[in-house]
Amino acid sequence: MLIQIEPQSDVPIYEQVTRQIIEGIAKGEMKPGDMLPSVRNLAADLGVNMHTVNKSYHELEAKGILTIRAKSGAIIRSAEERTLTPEQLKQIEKNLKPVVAEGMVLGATANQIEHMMKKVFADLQVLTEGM
Amino acid sequence: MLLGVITVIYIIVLALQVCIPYVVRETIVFGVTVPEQHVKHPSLQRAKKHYTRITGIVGITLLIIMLITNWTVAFSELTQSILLSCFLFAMIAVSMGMYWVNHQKVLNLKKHEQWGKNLKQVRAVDLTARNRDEMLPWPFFVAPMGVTAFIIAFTLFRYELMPENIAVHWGPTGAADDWVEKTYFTAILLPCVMLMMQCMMWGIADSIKRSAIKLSVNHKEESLESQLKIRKFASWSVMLLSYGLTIVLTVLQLSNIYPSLAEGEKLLPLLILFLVLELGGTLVFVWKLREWRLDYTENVTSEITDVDEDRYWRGGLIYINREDPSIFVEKRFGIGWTLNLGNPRGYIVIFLPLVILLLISIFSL
Repeated sequence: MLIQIEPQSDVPIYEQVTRQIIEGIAKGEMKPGDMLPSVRNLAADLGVNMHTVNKSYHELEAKGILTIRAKSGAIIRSAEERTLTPEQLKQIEKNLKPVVAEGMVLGATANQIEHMMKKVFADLQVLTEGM
Repeated sequence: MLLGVITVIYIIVLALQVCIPYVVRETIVFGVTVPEQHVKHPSLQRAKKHYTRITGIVGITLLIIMLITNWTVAFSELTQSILLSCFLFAMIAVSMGMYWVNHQKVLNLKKHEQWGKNLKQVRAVDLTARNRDEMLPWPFFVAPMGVTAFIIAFTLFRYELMPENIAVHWGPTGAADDWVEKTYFTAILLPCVMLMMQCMMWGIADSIKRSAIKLSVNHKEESLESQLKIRKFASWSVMLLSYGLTIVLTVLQLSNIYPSLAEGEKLLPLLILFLVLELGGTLVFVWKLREWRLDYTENVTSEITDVDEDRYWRGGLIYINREDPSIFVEKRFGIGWTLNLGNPRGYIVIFLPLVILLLISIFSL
């Protein structure tokens, strides 16, 4: 699986890494049990400080998406291991709020936003099933 | 003999210097990052030709002058070796000078034409690349240390029977030409040097392994394949160098225990074989680099380009980047790798063994 970083972007690098790994798992490009490279190796390949990758891995671990193994890397947890908790759902809702609010202010209707959500969901899923 | 060795080295070094612009990545011209969208710029082709032509002509002229002075003026062996090395360094200085002129030229061209201004810089990483990395694991580099341990034990076992003087320097023909008095320290001097060399080779191989697998964003798969091949080749070369040094130094140490081994020119074939293998290995590496080099013949319309790291490269030659955890990075103008001087680990891998080697040689005097 490939990830692409833009060092000059406004989005912090650790955030870019986190988002792309999550998206990769959602698309099925990486499966439960797959290994991610060690912090040191990924930092070397990205040419960034180790703390940056470490921060991203710890964020993903806190979200329950992967388990960090000292030195060797990180393993993606399976769906059973990461059952959705009410707190996580609440967090996702919180993260969605500013996006939906922006849509409302710009004049998007509830239908349009709902349609958009379904489309994004379907786009990710098409790839999963295609694998 | 000396003339022969220096002439062969001179010709190989000159050949390498002359073809460097055509061996290194096409997106790095004289140490300057050039976005792929501009690699076919006619000025770049001209700069490369200019460098190769002048370095080649001056290099060959210097070689002819060197041979003539060597034959017409009868020197002692010492002045001959100084003279020959001066010519070698003069040739390298000329090629570095030509590099510098063209480095400035390309830098100005890039600035003037604002290359990369409208391109987005992207760094790509394949998360599975490390699983496909075929570099040799560490036991391959630790194994020769077993030979060292054995030879030290064997030397101590045979200590009483060893001659009173220990050879510490050998001439180009493989015959010893400098000795020190026998003590327990000088007796195992050579195996200690050997151990340091083995540590250094292991450190280098390990550092290359930990270094970045850099992908070219517009040619991800091809660049990954090429990187993996280069890394595999490098790891094998370092292993062969480590084994070669082990064999040569073991034979030299055995000749300290059994002096009849090194009489006359008995060791000459071994030394020549070692030299031929190492120089040949370098030439094959250059050949392979050229073969594995990415091909940018297709016109790129992409809006993205690789990250421009020029600001971390002093003069396009010295890399200092504190953020980058890589110890080694591929050279921008030359064959192989160079140290990231911003990473303290590199100093440990390279300079610590060198300092220990230096201390060993000072204490042995």
